[in-house]
Amino acid sequence: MNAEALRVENLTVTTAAGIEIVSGVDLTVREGELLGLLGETGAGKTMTARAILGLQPRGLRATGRVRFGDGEWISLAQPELLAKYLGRTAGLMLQNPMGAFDPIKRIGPQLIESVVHNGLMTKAEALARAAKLCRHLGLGDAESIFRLYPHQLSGGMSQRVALALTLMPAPKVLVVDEPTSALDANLRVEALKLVQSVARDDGTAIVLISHDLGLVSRFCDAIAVLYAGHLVEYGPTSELLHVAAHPYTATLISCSLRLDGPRRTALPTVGGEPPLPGHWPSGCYFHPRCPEARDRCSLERPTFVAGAERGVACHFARQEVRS
Amino acid sequence: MTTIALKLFRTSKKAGSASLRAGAWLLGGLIVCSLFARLFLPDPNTQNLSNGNLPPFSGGHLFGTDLLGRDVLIWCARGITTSLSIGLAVVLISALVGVLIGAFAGYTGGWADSVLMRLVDLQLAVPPLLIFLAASMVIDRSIGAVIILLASVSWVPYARLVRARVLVERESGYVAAARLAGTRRLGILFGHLVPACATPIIVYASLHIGFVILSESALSFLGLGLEPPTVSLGYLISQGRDQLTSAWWIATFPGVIIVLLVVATNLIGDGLRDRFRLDSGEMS
Amino acid sequence: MVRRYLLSRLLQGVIVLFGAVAISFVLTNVIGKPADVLGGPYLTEEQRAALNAELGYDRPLLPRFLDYLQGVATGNFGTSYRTDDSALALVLNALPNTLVLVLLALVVAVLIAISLATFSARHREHRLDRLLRRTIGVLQGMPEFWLALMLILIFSVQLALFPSFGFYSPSSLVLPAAALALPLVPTLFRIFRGQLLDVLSGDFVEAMRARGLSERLIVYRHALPNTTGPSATFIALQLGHLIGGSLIIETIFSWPGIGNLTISSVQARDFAVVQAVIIVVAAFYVLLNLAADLIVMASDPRVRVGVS
Repeated sequence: MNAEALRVENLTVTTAAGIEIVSGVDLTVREGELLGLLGETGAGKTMTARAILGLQPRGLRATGRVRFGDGEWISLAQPELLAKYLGRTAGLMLQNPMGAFDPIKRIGPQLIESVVHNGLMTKAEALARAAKLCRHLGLGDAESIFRLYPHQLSGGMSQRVALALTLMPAPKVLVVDEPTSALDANLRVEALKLVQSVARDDGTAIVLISHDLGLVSRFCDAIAVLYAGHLVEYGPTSELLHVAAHPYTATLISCSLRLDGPRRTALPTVGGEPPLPGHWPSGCYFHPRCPEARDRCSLERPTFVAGAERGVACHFARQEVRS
Repeated sequence: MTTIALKLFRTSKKAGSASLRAGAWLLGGLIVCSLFARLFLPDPNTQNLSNGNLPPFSGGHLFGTDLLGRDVLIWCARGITTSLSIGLAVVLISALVGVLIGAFAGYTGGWADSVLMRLVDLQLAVPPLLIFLAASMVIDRSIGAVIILLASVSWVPYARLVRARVLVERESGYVAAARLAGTRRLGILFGHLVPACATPIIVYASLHIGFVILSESALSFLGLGLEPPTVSLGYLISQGRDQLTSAWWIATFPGVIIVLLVVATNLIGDGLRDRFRLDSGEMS
Repeated sequence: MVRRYLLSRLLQGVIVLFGAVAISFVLTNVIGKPADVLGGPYLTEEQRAALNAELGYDRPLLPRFLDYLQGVATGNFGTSYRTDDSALALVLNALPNTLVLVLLALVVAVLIAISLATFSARHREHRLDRLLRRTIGVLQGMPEFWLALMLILIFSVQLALFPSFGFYSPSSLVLPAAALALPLVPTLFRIFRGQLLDVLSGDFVEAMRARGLSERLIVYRHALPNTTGPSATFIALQLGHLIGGSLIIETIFSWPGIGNLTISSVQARDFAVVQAVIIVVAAFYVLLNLAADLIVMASDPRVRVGVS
């Protein structure tokens, strides 16, 4: 089994008003592995990913700790300590690839700026690496790409250049916010294939944030499901899809369209609305929408039972998880 | 989606209330002082040449007297309500005219709209003070004339504001619904579109008063605006200008009062803008 | 595309100029009757008519306006009745002095506002930022002419550092420029701060933080240049305001610019000169806005280069 590349323990994000929007999340990603962080809008998945890198918005406080590779533990409450790892060990790719660029500067200088600024390479080395990355990502003539302005890139190209930008320092850990829905479906799959090849070839550990179960199950080795800021289930993709331990995961799976399923049947949906931060229900946060909720669910919050491979937070888990 | 969610956590509930409260207290205090002076203190136009240029704290004159022995404190206090009432009158007139013209131009579009936009350009191209100066050659100096003069160049921003809003709102669903329900054009315009602009207009107006007060004081300072017996702060500063080296207090105190007045109204305006979360770009 | 935009802006500028000519004509020919103003209340009807005929004001309005328009188009703005000089020449002679003053004030105000805005945006919600934002509004409440008097009182009368009037050395520029610049700082500060915060909250800044770029580098190398375009337009708009302010400031400091010329012409009812001032100021504003448009284009590759 590959060595551990990223470990997050007890990540909690709190607003200035004291509302927890992410609570006690633990994550582990190994080298060359893709972990899908799955959740509805507002489940706290983006916040989780930002807080891991110390990039949560101003006014939000993160606690917990994180470790890159076999390095030392870093407190998440101190973003300035985490900043030393940004652009070196860890990278972030945003939803919108165009958003990665300064709109009024040419591509070339932007590609080499951070590695030179961070003292990882000389300018010449950086240019050589940028050219190599561009070729590797199928961008063709690097020299002509360098001279372009961001707005001159097509959707597919900007995706690749944005990836090149993130890969310049050869990060060990890469957080990828789901490729924007503004890109058409083919481009999204194309972009994720590139990301997957990066993990396979360079041994980069990747956290993919998404609300799309289909996309996550296609590309990721493991899936972590977030609901209302809590980790509700965790496991290898194939096992999780085979038997979901948590009712929420099970509902998500049954919601996603299956081409091999019976036709003309109504697609099941998750009933109700996800709770808003600060308006958390009692007991298990999912119980108002849970098809299998019983009395105990509204009274007592289930603890997360973590096994070696799988974990679940449910009083009546469908799959036994032994710790 | 996610960014919207992130922003939700940043806005506080009572935006702008601190500015509003500070502005209201300051303005209220100034008005009370002014009314007290108007009701209970002697007419500041009373001249007493033997008491000319008295420094502050002498002979019962807290702010001193000017060359003609007029009490600076009473003059300042009375000037507050003069400035404010001119500010209010100009703001009301120009808001009324601007809303009517802006709504008309925005709703009908076409040539009326083009004419309005060129007027907006023109208003920006020629400084208002220059127009005031040119107009002061041919118009006599009375409170009414000063108000009309100030209003005649001030209505344009209101018209621009209303026009921009109307252009957006007339495409929205509820206007289409009103149209389908058979509401007539004027009914839609004044029943739906103009009320939709009420907030930005109120906010702009509250920020505009300060500007009018400054303009009036400038005109009066140049001897082209108000003159005695009307009590104007700008006029007193112009009197103090000639005595600057010998009697600093004559020019200084009325200026301080103007600053306080404008700061108070601007605080209220800023508070309202923050309260209604208006983009400051829309207001400039 | 770009050329068409510039052409339409040019056309708008011409329309504005026409408007300025019309305003100056209406003010002096329709609202005011020059003969009444010049002659005062003691003229008999015949004398008044004779004066009107002599000045050419007895003709119908339209031909008079067309004549005036033609004169303006050919550079003939009439003559000053005080000096018999060409009104345009008088204004153009005074204009450079005003421009020196106004541009210096603008540069000073912009520099102060940008530095304060950068500080405030980098330390937003810090105690100093809040203090700065609360106190800076006071500057906006100051009438320029009063500020000028106070500056004279402090720096000229009390400290004897700078001259309070005249045109003799660069140091005589200091006080008038400061009196013009300071009240402008709060407005510019708010705009710059807003634009900077806008850029700083954008995706690319977050991406740069994630790439490990320092906050200083992000602000100075990326965020500030990205605000150049929108700021240029706004700065150009402030110039009208500044020229308005300089009208008064110049009389206080006896600065021989168009402000002084205007006020003395207004007091002497020298119509031709006042008309010329209005038109020249409007023309200057139009040119300046065209320049701002060009700066916007030059600073943004999306406009400059286009999509390949």
